[in-house]
Amino acid sequence: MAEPAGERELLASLANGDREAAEALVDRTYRKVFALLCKLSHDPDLAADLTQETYRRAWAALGSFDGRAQFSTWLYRIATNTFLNHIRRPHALVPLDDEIGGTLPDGGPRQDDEAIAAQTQERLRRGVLGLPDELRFTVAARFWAETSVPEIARAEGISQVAVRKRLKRAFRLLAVTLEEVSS
Amino acid sequence: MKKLSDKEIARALSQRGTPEPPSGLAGQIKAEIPELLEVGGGAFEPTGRGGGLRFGGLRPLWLIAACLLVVMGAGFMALRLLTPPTDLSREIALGGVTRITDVVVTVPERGTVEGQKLAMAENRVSKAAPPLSPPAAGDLVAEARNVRAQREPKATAEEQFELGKADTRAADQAALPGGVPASETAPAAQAHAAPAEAAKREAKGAPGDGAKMRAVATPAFAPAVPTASAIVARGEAAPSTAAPVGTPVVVRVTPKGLLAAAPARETVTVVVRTAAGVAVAGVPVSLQSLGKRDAKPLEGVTGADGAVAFAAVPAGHYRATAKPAGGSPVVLEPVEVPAGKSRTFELRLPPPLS
Repeated sequence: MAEPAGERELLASLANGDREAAEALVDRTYRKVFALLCKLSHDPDLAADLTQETYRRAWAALGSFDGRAQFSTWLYRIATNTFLNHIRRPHALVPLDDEIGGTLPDGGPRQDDEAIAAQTQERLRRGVLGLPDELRFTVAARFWAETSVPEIARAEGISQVAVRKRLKRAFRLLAVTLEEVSS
Repeated sequence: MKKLSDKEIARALSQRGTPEPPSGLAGQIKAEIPELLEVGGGAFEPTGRGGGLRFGGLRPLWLIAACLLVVMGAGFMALRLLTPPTDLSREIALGGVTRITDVVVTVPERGTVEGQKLAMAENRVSKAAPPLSPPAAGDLVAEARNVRAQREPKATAEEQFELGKADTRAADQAALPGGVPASETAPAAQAHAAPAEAAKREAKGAPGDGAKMRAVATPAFAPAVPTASAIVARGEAAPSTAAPVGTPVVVRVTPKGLLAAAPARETVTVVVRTAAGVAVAGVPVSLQSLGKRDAKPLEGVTGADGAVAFAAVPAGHYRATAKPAGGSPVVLEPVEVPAGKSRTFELRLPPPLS
């Protein structure tokens, strides 16, 4: 996670027209943005494209960044929205179908475990994508971008208790979704 | 699949396994950084650790706390300023002065035993003790000592205040005003006339030829007086001198040390004359302290001799202003009033313009 004081110093330099500060911010954040998009899309190539798109949108919207949350958290929100916009497009091709089960290779117990884990991950991803927007971003930022609860609370403008309630609610919905899928 | 618990879901969500970003992704992103970036207003101001501005909720909380403190402080100050202090508390705070109320001056009948004892006591006092200073306010002088005894019931104090027993304490009275009376076993408080001008006047104008003075200590008196220290009670102001027989008067009781440390107050006389030296009557004159400019100026009007006297003026520097009717004010500054000296100043009005 980016160190807050350093990030703010970079932002201050960026405000003074320092382009290197912008590049340093990219270096600090692009891996986690990519990881988040990978988790969301389950497609590294698409995640890379969406990462670039995320930064394009971030530069364009930098004037509206109020500094309430960290720059990285702000980026995660943009990345999530970018992904959602992408999959809502008619031409979007995101592997939402349960392809894992159909491509399970034959093998021993170890391969079976890996296959089951992969299947669970995919179901989880689909479950997260099916969550309401505020729950989806909270879960994605917390577990896929490793953002702390206080930071999510700042970014969302809510209390930490509210964030934890969101997570709890998301877990209940995900549990139900996973159960329905398995049955 | 069985229903997963919250912990199991959280563990599954936290599983790693994200592929590394493709090489060159960072470069591609950097290449798309626009030349001009419009950044948010004050969002990017650097902040130090600990103090300074903070984002989120801390800054508003800090401001609210500061505002609350300011409001509470202002309210407290306003309360202190708006609440009129009682005389007792103010005097104790300023000069350690407390008060005995209800001093009753009565005149015994001529020829009674008390009257005779009064005459004896007055003779002894007048011979043994020098006149008290300042006598102006000392029409009624009472000495009170032994605070323990002052807390005794009213009846005891009254008995001890009677001048009929003053002859038994002549030695103590002779010690006035120099110091603490010698007798440690003396009663609660004593009152005597020294120089006893008021009592004498009362006595002369009354049917008898003596005076009996009785002081009644109020409940507020005893706690306010320092323990085991002698105190001097000194009558002040008009009630003690003008009060008719039997009328309660007010006596101020001041610890001796504090009495000695009290600021000197002098009499300042301002005489207003014309340029030719003729005294001018009816001219308003004010005396404003230069050290305490917010203090209310002393004001008076010159009499037939062109003079106006300001009594009880604290030592210091003043500005005397005469405002003759139809003329411009005449200012004399600085008017120095030293401690222990009464001063007279003259203000000359300019000649009228022809």
